[in-house]
Amino acid sequence: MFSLTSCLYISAFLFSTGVYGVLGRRNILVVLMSLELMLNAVNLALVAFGRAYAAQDLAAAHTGQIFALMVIAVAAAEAAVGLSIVLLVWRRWQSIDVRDLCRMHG
Amino acid sequence: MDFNPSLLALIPILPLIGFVLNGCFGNRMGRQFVSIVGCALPITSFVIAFRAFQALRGSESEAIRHTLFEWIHVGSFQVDMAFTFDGLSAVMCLVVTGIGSLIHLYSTGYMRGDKSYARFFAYLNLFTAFMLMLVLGDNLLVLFVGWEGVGLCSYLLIGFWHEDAANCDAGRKAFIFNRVGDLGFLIGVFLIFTLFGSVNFAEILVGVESISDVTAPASSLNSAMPMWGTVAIGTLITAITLCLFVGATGKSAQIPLFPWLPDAMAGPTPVSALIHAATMVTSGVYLCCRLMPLFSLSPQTLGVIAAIGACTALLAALIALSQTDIKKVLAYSTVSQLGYMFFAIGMGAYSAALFHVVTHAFFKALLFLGSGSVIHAMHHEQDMRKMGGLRRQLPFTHLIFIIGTLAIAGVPFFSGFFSKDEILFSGFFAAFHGHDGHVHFQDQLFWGMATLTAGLTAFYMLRMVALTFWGKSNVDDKLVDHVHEPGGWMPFSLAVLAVLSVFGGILNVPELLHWLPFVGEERTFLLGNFTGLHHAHTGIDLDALHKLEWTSLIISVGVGATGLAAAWYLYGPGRALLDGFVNGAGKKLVRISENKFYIDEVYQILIVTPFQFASYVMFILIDRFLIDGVMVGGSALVVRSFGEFFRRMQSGFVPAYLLTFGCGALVLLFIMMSLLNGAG
Amino acid sequence: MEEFLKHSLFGLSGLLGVVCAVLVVTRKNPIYSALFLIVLLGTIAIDFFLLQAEFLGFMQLLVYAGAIMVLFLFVIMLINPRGDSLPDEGGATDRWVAFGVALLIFSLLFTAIAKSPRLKEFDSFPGMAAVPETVMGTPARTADHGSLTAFGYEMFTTHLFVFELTSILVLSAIVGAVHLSLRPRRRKREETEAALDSSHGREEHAHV
Repeated sequence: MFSLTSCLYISAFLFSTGVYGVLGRRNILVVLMSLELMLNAVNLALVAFGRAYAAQDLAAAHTGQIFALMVIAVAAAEAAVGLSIVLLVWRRWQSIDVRDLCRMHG
Repeated sequence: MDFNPSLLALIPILPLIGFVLNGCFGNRMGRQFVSIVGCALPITSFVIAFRAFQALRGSESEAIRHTLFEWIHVGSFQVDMAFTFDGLSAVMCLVVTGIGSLIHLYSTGYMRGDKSYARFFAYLNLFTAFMLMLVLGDNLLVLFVGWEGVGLCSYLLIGFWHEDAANCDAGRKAFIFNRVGDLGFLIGVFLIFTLFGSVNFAEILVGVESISDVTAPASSLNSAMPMWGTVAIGTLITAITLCLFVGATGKSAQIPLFPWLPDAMAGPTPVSALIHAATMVTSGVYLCCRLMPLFSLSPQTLGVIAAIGACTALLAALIALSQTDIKKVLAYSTVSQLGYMFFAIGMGAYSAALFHVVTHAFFKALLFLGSGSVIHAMHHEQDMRKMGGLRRQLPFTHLIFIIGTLAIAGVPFFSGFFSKDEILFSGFFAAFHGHDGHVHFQDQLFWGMATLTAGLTAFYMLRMVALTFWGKSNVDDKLVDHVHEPGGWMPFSLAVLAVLSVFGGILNVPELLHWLPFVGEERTFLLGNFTGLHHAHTGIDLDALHKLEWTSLIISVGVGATGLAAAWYLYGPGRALLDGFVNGAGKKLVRISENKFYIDEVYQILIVTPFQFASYVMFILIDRFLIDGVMVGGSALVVRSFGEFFRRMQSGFVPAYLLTFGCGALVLLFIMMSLLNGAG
Repeated sequence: MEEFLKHSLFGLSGLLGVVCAVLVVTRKNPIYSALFLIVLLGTIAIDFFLLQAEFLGFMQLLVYAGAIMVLFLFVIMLINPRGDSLPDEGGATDRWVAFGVALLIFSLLFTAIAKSPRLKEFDSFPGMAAVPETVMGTPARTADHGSLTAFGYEMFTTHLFVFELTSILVLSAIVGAVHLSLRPRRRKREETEAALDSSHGREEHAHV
């Protein structure tokens, strides 16, 4: 049960669920959370691949993990900027509807 | 006398420095500065030129040469920015710097009140620099730079008072007419390079010698001219000289390119004197003299030049008869006198042509500056019908005009007499003796035209004096009290030029008149011998030659005297007779003359209208349709329709972006899968 | 026994993660989504531990669950959207389109994973290669924190450039976030300046 393929299946499922959340939901907060979900799915895949190759080369495992670490950093940055925008949008229009973002172009 | 050749370069460079100083700082530094810079530098040039002239006379060598820098060195094509100071250049240089300096001095008075004082002197200095480059150039390209430069300055100075659209039009007209001529000139230069493999005057003349010397091997010419293999060299030389002559007709206002010169009178009067009478317009004559051996090789070209010269002289004189604008009379007179010079060249009398360039520069500059004084006194009134009786108020200017008129009319022992007589004699010799022993009818015709022109010249010049200074006053009452003699440096310039106009003939007294005072046997044909252009008439013994010369001299003096007498009578005691003729039998003739033989109208119909039509077609077809419509409008349409299309995608509607993004990712994923499947 | 524990832990965490993921994207109130997301992040951290990426697992818990999700919760609490201020979640069409795209992506990934012959070679995570005794003269296996020394060495040598890039990215994100949240204060200052202008006149202002 604990195998590379099953890790990848879980990762693929989480990713697809994230895609659904991003495309189907209109709440900006949920959209942002779905994005985090997708990033985590990718992280899982990266680490799993790294672990799978570690039998031959330890550096491969580390490369996957470092990649995942960078993704976490990027996610943190994205969340910080994204959420401050959400706050501003809320202050301006009292809305967290994705569709209302189009009002930003005047 | 020692003369450092590198000083030669200073002659054109000094006025150029004046141009830069006056052009850049003139407006800030004030009139005093502009006047000093504007006049001192050309005068310094004159001093240097004079020193060079003395050095040249004292030395054995033919010329002083100086290479300023290597200009174009491409393969066998070698051109240097080099100057040559030989006899011909020396004469032209002294005329340009000498008369130029006098006119600069005159301008300090004439332009005193003008708001663009600095600009005027900057242009005038620039003109002097280019003109000196033209006459000092060691090769055709340096000459061409000067040639174009003086054309540019002419344009700038004709349109100097550019607030008036008519002045700008006159400037453009001059520029366009000159362009037509310059095209011919350039083609001539190209042909010369093809034939001789060089544009250097010295090398061209070496090539010419080898052509005229039948025994010379052909290899001394440019061997790389296969394209001319089948064309006889004689034909090619005729083509070259004709092309160069086309250039000369443009610059020197000959038929068919003369109408710009009368219009050029729109510029300030000192400009008319310097550029459009004394110096620039004679550069065509200079070119022919410079390449004299080449022109001499083609009798056909010389025939054409003689015909055009004689026709221009007569036509311009006929037009001048009826002009009422004082400067227009002088302008047509200039065209006519230039015709004389070309007539002389056509007759092979190069030294006579150059001599006439010099004397004409003296007396025509004098007349123009004199007319400038009149115009200045009359507050820019140029119409002679509104003058008259000015002799009492402007006695000095009147004297100046009398001297100028006598000189141009060829009254014995004034400067114009000698030069004009020499030209007429060369025509007379060709007409009634013949260079090769044969007499040709067309030579007799040309001589007749030239002689008639001499009479007409005397007539219209005295007419001008009579209308302006004699008779009863037609001056506007408001102006009468303001009429005054010029002040400052203006009388000085006039006086110097007057002296030159009276005594200038001493430069080239014919052998026939060696008994005149201050002359003597050894001082005849000074100018011709100095420049090496003089050719003694051959194939005739001295007594017979003298007989011919006396006949010619008496005829020309007689014709001139008749013209003067007729003008004196018709515009004095016999005024009624003239009025009767003008209003009666001669009405149509006068109208033709007044309308300049409808030359401008002919140009309008033959050239301007078709050109405007073609331009209009081009405008509609190329500019409006192809460029505006298809290219500009079309590209705008493409961009706009793309924009219209993509604008819809930029809705700012985030779900739409996300959906697009998701679909794109899907497609990419699909492609990657297929590729991997295909590979694995 | 240990293997069985591993397998069952992985199975449970995977199942929990899947359920939580579905709940994250379907809950109407974002506060529930956030809570389920935290659980989901925890399950992924468990997976990281199982995959012997202990450092990353701790980071996941600290940074993600500890920092990012706290930020999310703060924002949700600040906004506190409920009832009619929650966006209306649109018609079924939009959801079906989104579902279709998601399903397509999943099926593509699924096929790719299922069909790949190479995946089978490493399927059961064979034992890891030996961790080096020392790294740069320092003993690498001093304690039970796995291959952390080697990991750090790897990160600050081979991947140093990426690391620096990421730090710049985070820095600019901080500046951006600060700038965005400072805006209202600046507007206030402009207003006071305008008031000063009108009271003191233009020339004095130009002099200043």
